[in-house]
Formats: sequence, C-alpha cells, structure tokens
Amino acid sequence: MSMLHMVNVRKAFGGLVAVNNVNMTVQEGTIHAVIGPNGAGKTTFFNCITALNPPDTGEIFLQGERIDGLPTHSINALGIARTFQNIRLFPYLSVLENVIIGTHSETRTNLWDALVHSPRFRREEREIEEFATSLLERIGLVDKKDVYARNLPYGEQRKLEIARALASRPKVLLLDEPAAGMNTTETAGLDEFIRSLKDDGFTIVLIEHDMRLVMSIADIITVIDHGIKIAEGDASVVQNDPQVIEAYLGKRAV
Amino acid sequence: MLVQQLVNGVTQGSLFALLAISFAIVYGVLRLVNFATGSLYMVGAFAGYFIVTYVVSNFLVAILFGAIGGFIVGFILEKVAFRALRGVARIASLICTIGFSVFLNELAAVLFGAEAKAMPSFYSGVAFRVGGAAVSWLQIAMIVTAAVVLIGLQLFIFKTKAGLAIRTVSLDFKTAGLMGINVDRTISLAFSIAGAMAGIAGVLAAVYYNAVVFNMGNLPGLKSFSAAVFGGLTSIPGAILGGYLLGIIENFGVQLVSTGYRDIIGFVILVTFLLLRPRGLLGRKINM
Amino acid sequence: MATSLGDRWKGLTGWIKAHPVTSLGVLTILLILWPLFINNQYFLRVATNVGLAVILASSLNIIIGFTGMFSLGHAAFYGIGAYTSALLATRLGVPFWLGLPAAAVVAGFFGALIGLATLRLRAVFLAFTTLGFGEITRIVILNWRSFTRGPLGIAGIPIPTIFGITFNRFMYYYFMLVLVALVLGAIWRMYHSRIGRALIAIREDETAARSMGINVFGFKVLAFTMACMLAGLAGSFFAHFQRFISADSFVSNVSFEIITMVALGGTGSIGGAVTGAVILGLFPEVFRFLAQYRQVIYGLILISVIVLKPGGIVGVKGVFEKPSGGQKGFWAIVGDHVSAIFKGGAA
Repeated sequence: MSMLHMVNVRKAFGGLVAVNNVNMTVQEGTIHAVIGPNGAGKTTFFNCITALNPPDTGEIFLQGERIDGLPTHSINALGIARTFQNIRLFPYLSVLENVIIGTHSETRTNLWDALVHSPRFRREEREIEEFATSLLERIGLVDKKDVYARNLPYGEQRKLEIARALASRPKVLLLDEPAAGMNTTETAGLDEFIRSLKDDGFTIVLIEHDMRLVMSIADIITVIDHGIKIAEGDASVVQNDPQVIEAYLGKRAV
Repeated sequence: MLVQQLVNGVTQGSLFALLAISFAIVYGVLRLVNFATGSLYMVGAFAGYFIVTYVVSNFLVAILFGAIGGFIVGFILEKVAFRALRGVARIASLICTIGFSVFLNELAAVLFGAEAKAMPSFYSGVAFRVGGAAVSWLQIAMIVTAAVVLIGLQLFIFKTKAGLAIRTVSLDFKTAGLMGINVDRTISLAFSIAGAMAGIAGVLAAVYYNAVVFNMGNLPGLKSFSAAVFGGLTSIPGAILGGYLLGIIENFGVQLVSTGYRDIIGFVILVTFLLLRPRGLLGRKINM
Repeated sequence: MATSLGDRWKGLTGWIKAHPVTSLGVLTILLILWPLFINNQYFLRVATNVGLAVILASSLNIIIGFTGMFSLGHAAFYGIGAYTSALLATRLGVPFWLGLPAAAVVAGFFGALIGLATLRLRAVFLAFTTLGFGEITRIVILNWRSFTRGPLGIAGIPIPTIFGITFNRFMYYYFMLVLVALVLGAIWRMYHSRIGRALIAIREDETAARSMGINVFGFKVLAFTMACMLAGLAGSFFAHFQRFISADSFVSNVSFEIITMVALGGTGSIGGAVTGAVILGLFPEVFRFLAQYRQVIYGLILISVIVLKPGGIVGVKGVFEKPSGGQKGFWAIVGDHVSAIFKGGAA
C-alpha cells in the first residue's frame, strides 16, 4: 500500500504558483527523493503535506486516510515528522530536552496529571527520558545530552533535528535538505544513517541538492521544476531525462 | 443633531488621524508599534502649553512647538528603544516603548503635577450654522490645521527625496540600503516626523479641550491605534481614513450608548477588525 | 587575602544554586517563623502584599515568559477576581473560602473567552487587544453602577473566617504564604511536565512546535486561562484583605508594573518572577522617600532591563537574543549601548 499519496496538489501565493498540480506517491519503506533547481517549490510541497501551508486544491492521503485539511499537529500525531531547511532547533535547550519535546504527540499527560504527579505522569516522564536517551545513542550524541543545542557543531545539529523528528515515532520522515552545509565525511555518515532508518522501517522523503547522496540512497526520485513534476523514476532514469538536464543546466546551445 | 455629531466627529477625527499616521509611519518603516505615541502626544501638548503660557499666546506658534517637542522626543525614543534594539525580537522594542510611555507620563506628573492645567483658548465663537449644528471657529481651525499638516505630509512623502527614502525603506530596508539610502538616518527621520505628528495632535487636543494633563495621551493613543488598524496599518491614507471614521463613529455611537461607554467603541472596532479583517480597510494583505 | 563583598555575594548565590532544596527549606522556615519574633503589623502587611505581587507576577510569567505571548491587560483579570469575590461576599453573603475559587473560575472564564478570540493574533496585535480589554474592563466597572457601584467602589468587604476563626493580621499572612506555596508549586509542576515543555516550544519556535504535534492554539489558550485564574485568585484575596476595592486598583499602570516585575526578575524563570515581585513589592516601602517618583522609576527600570539586561536579574538565557549572542558583563553592555546611541548603528 502506498504510504503517502498526493493528488493534484496546488499551492499559489498571489500570482505565483509554487506547486502546480503535483501528483506523487511514496511507497512504504522506501527512500523517495524530491529534487529540482532552487525555488522549484519543493519546500512548499513539504509544507503542503504537513499543512504549514495548506494546499489550495488537491488531496493528500496517509496510508489511505485523507490528511489534507487537518491541522499540522494532527498530521504529526498521525505519523509524519519533518526537519527544516534552516534548522529549527531550540537553541537554549539541551540536546536531550530538544528530543524529549519531540515526544509530545506520543504522550498523554494532562495538566491534572502534572499537578498531582499521578502514576501516569511518573511513568511517562521516565519512559520518554529513556526513549530520548536511546535515540541519542542511536545518532551518537548521547554524551552531549546536556549541551545547549546551539553549541553543537552544524552537522550534529542536523542529526539532532532528525532525532527530534524520530521522537514522535513517525511512519514517514520528511527531511528538508539534511545534507545542506555538510562536508563530505559528514554526508557519508548521513548516507549510512538514512539507510539505517530505512532498514528500521521508516519511509523517508528527502529534499536534497547533494546529487551524490541522492543518487546513492534514493529508491525513487521525483524531479520538480517551477512547481511542476517533470520526471520520476530511479536514478538512471532521471539522470538521463532530457527535461531534467535542461532544468538544471539550461537548454543545450545549438 | 446628527450634523452636529458629524462636525464634532470630523474635528476629533482630525486628532485621531494625526495620531494614526504617527503609528502608521513607524509601523511602515520599522514594522514595529510605538506604544509611546500617546506620550509623544502629551509631550507636544505640554510644549504648546508652555510656549503659550510663558512666551507668546499664538496658535500657530503653539502648533510649531508641539511639533518640535514631539520631533525631539521621537528622535530620542528611536535611538534608545529601536536603534539600540535593532535585530532583537520585536517584542523587546514594544516593551521598551511601554517603559518609555510610563516613564514619560509619570515624569510629566512629577515635573508638572498631576492636576490638569488650563490651556488658553483660541478662536472662540461660532463661525456658522448649518442644519441646526453650530460649527465653531475653533473646530474650523482644528480641521484646517490637521488637513494642512496631512496634505503637507503627503507632499513630503510623495514628492521629496527624503520622502522617497522613507517609502523605500518601508518596502524593503535591506534593498534600500544597497541602493545607497542611508537607512539609519531615514528611519530616524521617519520616527521623528511621527513624533511631530503626535505632538501636533497633542497641541490641537490641548486647545480643543482646554487642558493638558500628564496622562492625556493614554486613551487617544489606544484609540488611534485602533483607527490605524481599522484603516490599514500599512497604508497612510488608510490611517487618515481610519482616524476620521473613528471620530465620526465615536460621536454617533455615543448617541446609542451612554457617554461613559464612549471609549469602548474604539476598542470594539479594534478587536473586530483584528479578528475579521486584519489588513483594515485599505491595507495590504498582512499575516497576522 | 581580603574577600570583597562581591566575592562573598558570589559565594552565597553559588551556594544557593548548588543546594536548592536546602536553601528553599531554610527560606521556608524563615518565612514561617519571623512573624513570631517580629510582631509588627506594618511588616506583616507589607509581606502579605508582596505575596500578592508574587502570585501576580508568576501568573503573568506563564503568559509572557513560558509561552512567549503578550498580555498588557493582566490587571483586568485581577480586578475581575476581586470584584467577583467582593460582590459575592457583600451581596450574597458568600464566605471567602467559596469566593476565592469562584473568583478564579470567573477570571479564568473571561481569560478563556478573550484567549479564544484573540490568541491567534501576532504579538503586537495581541498586546493591544489585551490592553484594550483591560481598559474596557475598567470602563465597564466604572460605569455599570447598578452592578459595581461604579466609582464608589465596594466597601466593607468582610474579613474572612475559616473554621470559625476570623482572620487577623497573622492569619492573612500565613494564608497568603500557603497560597503562594500552592501557586508556585503548581506552576513548578506544570513547567516540568509535558505541558510546560509544550509552552516553551511554542515560545521558542511556533512552527517547529506545530510540526512536533503540539496544538499551539490550544496550549496558548490553556496557558492564558491558567494565568488569568491565578490572577483572579490574587484578586479575591486582595478584596478581602484590603476590604475596599475600586476600579482605580486595576488601571493599566498596574498591568505595566506586573510586566516590570517579570522583566526585572527574569522573563521565563519561575525564580525570576518571584525575585522581581519581591524587589518591586518591597521597593515602595524601602524607598518611601521616593514615593512620588515610583512610577517614573518603574518606567526607567523597564527600559533599562530590556535594553541592558533582557535576561533580568536571574539572567535567563536566550530572552530577546541579540544577533551577536554571547553573555557580556553588565557594564560592558551599558557601554556598548551608550556608544551605539551616539555613534549610530546597533550595539
């Protein structure tokens, strides 16, 4: 069954159509990359899926259920988590606290529980701390768990953001340019990490500009230019598609 | 009766319009709300009061000094509450202007006493009657003065280089800087002009109500913010329109509710517009 | 080697930070015992008023500090609580122990109402709306004479009686102490829970918070309502303590004073709000001779804190962060700002 299914999604800002009737299907357990020249509408597309910028028209399905029209926080609770192009961590909170906050939709403690320190409160607090710590172990940041997020090196901040997204136990991870600003070593590490996430059963949708990374890990690639899907397929198909080449490099000089 | 309300409304609307412009200029240029606008109004009123009481009892001189007072204090305010906080979260500037508003108001109370002082009157007497309403010379003077100032401002904004600089900075200050406009100076100028507008409104109010008092700016400041939102915070003509409309609506509204509740009318309008149509009547679409 | 006063101070504050529980214990014992040794009506009254300030500042801190919203009309909810309790007591003979929670509920109700209507607005617009609401409340109280006796206020609010014991100045103080302890305890527990974390996330980055499953609007309304309930609680106590209330006690300047307390102590810090409240609560008493300049000084304090040390006394990090970041010494920051003002350009 398809994990994410987007039908005729369209989003316009005034006169500018950022996402123009895009159809895309993401299969469960795959790594699906979305690429395209800058300003092509990829981040807006992500924003449509998570309802930060709800689409004007079109439908979006998560495992067969419609999610367009739902508010962003509900979409997260249903299983879609994301990272951001320009990292949106909480700079003055510790690494561990950043991840713990990510568990929000997985917990049920309410105000009353908090005030009286009910058994549910105590249990959930313990559980999320254990869970968050285990996530930090997985990404290799557990010895820095009390460091302010802003004091982490850039590459580690990006990993932390992914860990925070994982904290909400999503089915789908939307990663917006996770390799941006990373050097070759860091990108190689990211490559392995994303593969391991796929092995763990996550479905991953990835916006990226780093072509080596994309061609290496993506099962399917969708190419978007000026809001329109111009090609889709595996790496070899996309690399040889003339429209894709034209979009990136411009028309061949005669 | 209705005509009288209309006349009163337009007169008071002149005050609101000037204050609303003050908000609009600052918001346009800095995307910030100057909470101390009411205090600038009060400063202008006191400046006019002192000139008239101790130097020369002349309406135009009072207006001039009100403008100067507002201009100077506005200049200082910009340096401390906005320039020094450039790049910091907007809310910091807002709180700072609140601090200034309290500081200026209470300083006036300490320096000049908490009781209202009588402002000499000008232009007494009725000019003419129309439809059962009496229009006084004073009202004419106020409406005309405000209109002249507003037209002068429009000419300045649209026909001078400095005005062009202000408009450019309001659209996009980064690009304006790249184009060679001295952004800092322009913002300073815009702010000072906004202060002058408030100051002029203050003098006019002092003359109209025959009184100056340290907290005279509180309610007018709030109401004029309503008027500015109502007309459209990003639009100067909108602010003017909002100001006059608020004055008229308030005066008509008092016919419906008792005078004690008069001041609520402005707030009701504010909340309604913020909730239903944040861009106001004439503003550009903004994200609220 | 001579230890300077500064060293001693640092030593003391360092010890307190290292031993928070013991410090709190010592403080609590002091707070309970001192009236038994210093039986002074004036001191007791001041201390009780400081307690009120602590509750008000702590409640506003939930809105401004924890959640990053902006309320300029907090005094209105204080007033709503006070008038609810006062009217219930004087007109219906409702006893204090019922009037107190009733005041909290009514104030909370209005808080929820205003919150639902306005909390989607951006900061500055929310600020003016709350200010407007504050003014509306004051004007309605002044004009609805049949209900609130208008400018006459409500006098003769009865002294509370609990378990048959009529309050004396000691009882007022100890009751306030218990109330403060409960309020601060509740705020502490709320802060260190999923709810507190959600509020902080909203403050830091709403978009990220939303994307992590936090119902931003819902939590904003929750925080706002909680804060208003607490303000109503304080109002009820105030009514039965001062035994006379009028619209004058709930003017906008009061809202600004509370903001100043929060900012001075440290926006977003529980200890900060308490510190600010204690300092500004004691200030009028300690500096009696400056009484007429009080408001001017408050204005100056607010300006200075924002410009010079936005983290407040406690030194909250990340409040109004400057682009350059970094934590500088207090006087270094003063110097930066002064030179910036004269040279032009930001510090």
